[in-house]
Amino acid sequence: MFKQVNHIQRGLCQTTFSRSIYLHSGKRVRGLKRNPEEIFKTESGSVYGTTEENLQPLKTFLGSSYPISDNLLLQVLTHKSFGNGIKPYNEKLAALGSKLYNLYCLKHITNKPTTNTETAINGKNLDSIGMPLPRALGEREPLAIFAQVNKLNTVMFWKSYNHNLSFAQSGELKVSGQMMFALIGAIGFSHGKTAAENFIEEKLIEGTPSIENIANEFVEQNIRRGDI
Amino acid sequence: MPVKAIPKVSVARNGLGSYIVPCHKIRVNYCNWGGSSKGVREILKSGELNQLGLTKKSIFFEVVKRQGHPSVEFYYNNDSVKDIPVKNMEASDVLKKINQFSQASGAELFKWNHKVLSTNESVRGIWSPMHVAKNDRHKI
Amino acid sequence: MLRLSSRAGARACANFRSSIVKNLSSSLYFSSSSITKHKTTYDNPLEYGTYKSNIYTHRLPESTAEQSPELVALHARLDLPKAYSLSTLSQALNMETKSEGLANNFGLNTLGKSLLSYYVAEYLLIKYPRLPMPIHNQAIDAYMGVEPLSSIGKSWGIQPDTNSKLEKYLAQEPFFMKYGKLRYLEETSKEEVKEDGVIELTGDEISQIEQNHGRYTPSEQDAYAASVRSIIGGLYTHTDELTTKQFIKNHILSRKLPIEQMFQFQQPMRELVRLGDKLGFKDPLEVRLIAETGRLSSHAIFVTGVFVGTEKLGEGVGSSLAESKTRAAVNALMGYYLYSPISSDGEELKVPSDEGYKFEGIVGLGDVAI
Repeated sequence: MFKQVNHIQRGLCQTTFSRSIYLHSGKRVRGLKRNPEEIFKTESGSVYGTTEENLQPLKTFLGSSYPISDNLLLQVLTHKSFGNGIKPYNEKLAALGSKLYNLYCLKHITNKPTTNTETAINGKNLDSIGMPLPRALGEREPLAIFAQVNKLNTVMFWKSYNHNLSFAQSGELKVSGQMMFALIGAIGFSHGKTAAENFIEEKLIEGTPSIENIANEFVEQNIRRGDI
Repeated sequence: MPVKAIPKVSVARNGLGSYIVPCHKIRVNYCNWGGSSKGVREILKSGELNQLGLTKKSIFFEVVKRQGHPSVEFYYNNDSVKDIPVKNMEASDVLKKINQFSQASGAELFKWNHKVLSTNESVRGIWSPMHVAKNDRHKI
Repeated sequence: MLRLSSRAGARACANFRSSIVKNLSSSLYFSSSSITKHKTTYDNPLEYGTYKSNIYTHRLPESTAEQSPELVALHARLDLPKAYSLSTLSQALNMETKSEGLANNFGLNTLGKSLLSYYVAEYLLIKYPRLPMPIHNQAIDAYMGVEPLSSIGKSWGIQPDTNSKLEKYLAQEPFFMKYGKLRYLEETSKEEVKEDGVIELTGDEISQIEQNHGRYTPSEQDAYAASVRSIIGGLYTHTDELTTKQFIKNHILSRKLPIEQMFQFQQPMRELVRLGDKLGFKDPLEVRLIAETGRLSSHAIFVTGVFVGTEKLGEGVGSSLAESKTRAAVNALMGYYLYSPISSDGEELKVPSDEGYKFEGIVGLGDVAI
């Protein structure tokens, strides 16, 4: 594979350089540039790009009320580990999404009507903060399980050190959780905080299954295993 | 790692966004008997100090009766304390002192011989001899 | 002079007092608290309203809180709304985990931290969308880490409660005075005689230093930071999120962030080349000499630029070609990383929580790997 590149203009005379680049396929060889068609492909065979098949799962999930541009959706699906981080990835989206989601969960928990009359402040019960379920609700694991149940993470652009390991061990759990944070962040960026909070309420809290039930099961499993 | 971060702390700019009065506590020390505390006793009796306390709600006033000359201690949020003697002062002068020091920053006074004291960098930048047109450059 | 002697006197006095306390039976000054296991009960984990802690049985009555002049002054100093009750403000200053049944600031602290995290992150992500992640995280710490928050707490005039029960008794200090103070010390550590410049660490603190890579934050700093976060959390419980956001904007985001001093580049030229790859520049990066004073002069100065095609990305001045080249690369990278977009009408961009928010900025594409 050869390629012609570079027309450099210097002063009045124009010189044309031609450079031949060998694009290497197969096993990585130090110093050789790899064929992009081969790198930008996931383990399961999806090719990187804003194609319909890549974005379909998320688009169906978002519905018509939370439209997100194709490029941003592709960025949501791309993890830092993909292609050595050369494509736009979702770290900054997740940074907004995780904070937004955490704050939403805390508000959701404390704003519930309460029977605790002694220590509630202005009708807000803060005694639940820091307890296993309220704490787990804001974390990424239940979100990752939610993504798996709803098949949102079927196409994700990422790379594990060993794709044959289990959901948790291969890192897919972490990457799926981050992808969900990024999705919330992308809605926050595109439509604002209120829309993102409506999205969390409508699709996650009132979703089937509800993220609360998933978190509760997750906590119970941990208790059974003796982690908490 | 491509780039590393150096830990820094954001710098306070009191007055921008919000203003916190630096003086948080005033302690008025006076003697109930001595002649040098006459002025202080007067502002206590006439209720003028009460009035002042009501206008300066963000300051905690403490009145201490003790022997010796009267003084007013000002506690600031930079951990400094200014102890101002008010012996033999008229009532109005004592009030003036309280007003004056309750508005101070608590920092040491210093002389600044430049026009501007700022944490921002100059908007003009620095003149560079290397960026003038080639013909006008100073030749070594 | 005067202060020194009085302090020495106080120390001698404290020495004396501590020896009394040792001799007296502890029941006189310490209420022997039975050790109860921390337990929070609930009907159903999903019914958040039914959670109830069995240690903290009550909140401070408003009538008691009103008696504390320091609390009232703090309320006025921060210009808090009337709806913000003094008992909540007092709770925000209570760090005690083994208090006499009085609710502490754990919940308020968590709530405040969440609010702060969101609003600070949102501001930085919109203002500097291209900050590399390590710098972004450090910038968040520069606004709401323990150090800045504790200095904010100090500037708010919050005073710690350092006097032991005996000292309070001897000074005839009314019991309600402590409700306006930051309560974080245990009764036993208040009675310890402190030597200036010497800090005695507990076993927990030593293990904490090891975890924090040798960095030590005094418990006082932690307490101040927690109280500031709790006051913000308390503001949310009594008012609404909009008021809290405005408060955070006024007190925290109004501070100056020395962002350009926070970068430490390891290999700037290489990083710039990788960035060029990521952004898909058509032309290759080139380093060109713009001006020099004459390289055989005694103090040569070189001005170098980094170019892509005809576009100049950055420029650096140095006393050698290598130095000016590195400075040029750093200049180009800083120009990229510190880019701050503005709205179409030339105003500062709105953040996602603002009313009438429209997405006009950019989303960071992620850092490059070297």
